[in-house]
Amino acid sequence: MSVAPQNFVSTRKRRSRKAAVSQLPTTLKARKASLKREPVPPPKVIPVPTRANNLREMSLRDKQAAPPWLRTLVRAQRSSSVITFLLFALTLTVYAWTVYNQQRWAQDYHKLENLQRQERQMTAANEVLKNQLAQQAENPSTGLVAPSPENTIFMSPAPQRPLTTASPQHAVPQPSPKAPLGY
Amino acid sequence: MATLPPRSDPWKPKPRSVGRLEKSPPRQRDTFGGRKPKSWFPDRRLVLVWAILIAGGLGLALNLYNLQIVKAPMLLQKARQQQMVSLRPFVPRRSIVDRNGNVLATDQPTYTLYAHPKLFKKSKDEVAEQLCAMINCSPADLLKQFNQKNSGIRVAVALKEDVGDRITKLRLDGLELSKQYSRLYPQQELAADVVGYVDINHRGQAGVEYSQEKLLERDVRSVRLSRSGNGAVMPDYVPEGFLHFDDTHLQLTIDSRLQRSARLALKEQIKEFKAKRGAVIVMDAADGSLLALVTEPTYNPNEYSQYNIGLFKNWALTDLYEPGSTFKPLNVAIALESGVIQPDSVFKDSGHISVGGWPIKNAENDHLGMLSVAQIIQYSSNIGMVQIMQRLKPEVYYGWLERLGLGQIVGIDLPFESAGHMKSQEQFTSVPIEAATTAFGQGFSLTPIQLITLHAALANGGKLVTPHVVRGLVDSQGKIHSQPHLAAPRPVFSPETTQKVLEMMETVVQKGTGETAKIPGYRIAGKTGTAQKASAQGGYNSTALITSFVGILPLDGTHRYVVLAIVDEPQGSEIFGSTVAAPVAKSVMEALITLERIPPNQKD
Repeated sequence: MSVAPQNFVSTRKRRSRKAAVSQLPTTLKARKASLKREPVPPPKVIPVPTRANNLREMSLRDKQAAPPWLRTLVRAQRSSSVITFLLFALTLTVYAWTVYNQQRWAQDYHKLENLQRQERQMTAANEVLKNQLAQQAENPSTGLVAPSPENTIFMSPAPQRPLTTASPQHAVPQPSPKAPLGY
Repeated sequence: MATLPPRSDPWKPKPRSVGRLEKSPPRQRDTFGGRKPKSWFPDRRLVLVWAILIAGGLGLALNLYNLQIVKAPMLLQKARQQQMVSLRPFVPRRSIVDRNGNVLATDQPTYTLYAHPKLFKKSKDEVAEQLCAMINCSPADLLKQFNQKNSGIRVAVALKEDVGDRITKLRLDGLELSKQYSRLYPQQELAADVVGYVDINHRGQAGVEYSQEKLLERDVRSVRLSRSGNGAVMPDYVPEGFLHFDDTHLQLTIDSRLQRSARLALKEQIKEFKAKRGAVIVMDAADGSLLALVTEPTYNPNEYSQYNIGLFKNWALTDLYEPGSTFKPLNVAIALESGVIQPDSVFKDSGHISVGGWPIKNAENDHLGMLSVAQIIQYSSNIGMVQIMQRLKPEVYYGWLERLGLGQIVGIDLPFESAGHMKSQEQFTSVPIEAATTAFGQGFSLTPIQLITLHAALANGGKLVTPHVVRGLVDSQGKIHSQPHLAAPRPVFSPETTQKVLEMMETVVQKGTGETAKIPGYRIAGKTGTAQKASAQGGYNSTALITSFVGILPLDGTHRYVVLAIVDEPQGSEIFGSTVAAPVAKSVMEALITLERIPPNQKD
């Protein structure tokens, strides 16, 4: 970039600069002397090239002359910026999603542990209760009797009847719902 | 750049020199557009800044080295301690359920509470008071404990989960809850003889808990997981299948309802006859699965430490006894199968017989004279049995007994089974009294489980099945995942022989010694047994009897069940298999009929 400012210095200036540059290797004193020797031009505000006007100037000047490789580079730079931005956004999203999922997993795991625990407790309580009831039933004063063949009814299954198709004549009429009598 | 003469670093344009240029007096301006080289060497401020930066950089590098290399292992460990949690998910020992899914044993997490008074932030009084509100203790006693020791005081054991949670919520410093698993047997002593118990280290010590340890233990994987700031577990390093541990449980063939009624009936009879002990076994003859296996007295596996250690063995598997008359049907089957007798053979019972100089008589001499084979069984005639078995050469007889597996174990999937005892072949064949006593079931011994296995062979058409109580590993949907490998049934009798023997045994229940086990409407085969017990001094004990009854039902169907009831050393005047054991077997058979829905066929 240090080359760029040169474009904007007048040829006269460039020449004088060249002279100054040529004096560079000399000692500080010699330089100071040369400063005194040379007639000092009136102070003049030099436009300091800024990046903006520099580029504008360039684009004005090089509109037609911009080499294709440069254009490719510029395009590449622009598209890579976009890609970078998108990647960055994607990364953030993925990261957020990961954290969110981890959190949700932890919550659900906690829930699962709770449910498992409830299941254990219910099973235990249920079985203990069952045992208690059975023990109580053994006591004759409860009036419960153990099942025995005498107090059991055995029914032999009826033989399977052949399927008959229901005829519409024999369809049972649907009873109409009873209307309330009160009120 | 190439066109310019070399410019050293200190000459680099500085932004402030640009600004200064516009204000600076003309004489200070140089040809470089206002840049004023102050010194050929870097000025002091710059050196200072550079030095500070370099020093800072060096310091950072040094610290980096210190953290990353010197202190790294220690820091890593510290971080792990904070972030990683070694999670041993609650992987309980598998539950044991009966054939209907009733839980017989299950795991419960419990806590042991330790206190470390030196870490208390609150006063000991306060802590004691708050704790005692939770765990039912006296604050004064607890305070005394706190004052005795500085740390490691065991305050309470076997705390339930919710109590543990409440103690955690107190957020008291200096308390420590350590999690354990404890086995709960919700049905208490109901199936203790089958299920067994686990000791304080969660290892099975008896029953299925001992013999099926491999099936019951799930492999506990300790998983290291990272933990977030609030203590929640993060799924980062969760191994695959972490949450999907199998939900299988060990299913037994035991029916706890039948077990319960068998236990009740046996308990009452033992109480009535002041007997030493008793046992009831119900077997499905088709495959050898046991529906009930009860011994009395028994123990509560939840509080096993309070019981006599002798109760932990299941004496129906471990103790040998002389079966007595209950072995007679098997002898008849042997004789029929070898063709030495026919079902209509007749033998003369004269009331006594002498074999090799030893007198043999009947228990009762009510039915003397000519007896058919069926009548010999029906009246349990010792003389008749001796005559039947005398037709068989002792060598052949001995071969038959060996084929039946006497003197060997039956291979049940419960631990500590004993092999029966039989005389040596030389003794058996050379001394005639040996074969004669064996004919009526004395002079050799076997376990109750072996006797019922032999009777199951009569019930299922002549096959020796392997008795077992484990159905397999079953998941919550009822699907069987793994089944124990059982030996294939070994045929010993022909179905015709067993059918004839069963018909003979049916007369025992209809009009013989087993009438007390008769159930109207059902064809039941049975045999009573009243045997003298061998005494420790040799010979037989005159007072100690062991009464038994074996029943087979239903004779109509092909799927039959065998019920064996044994009462050991009952006291009283009328001590017979028919009076003591048969009523127990009857009530067990009644329960079996309703539970297995066995329809009556016989019309009375």
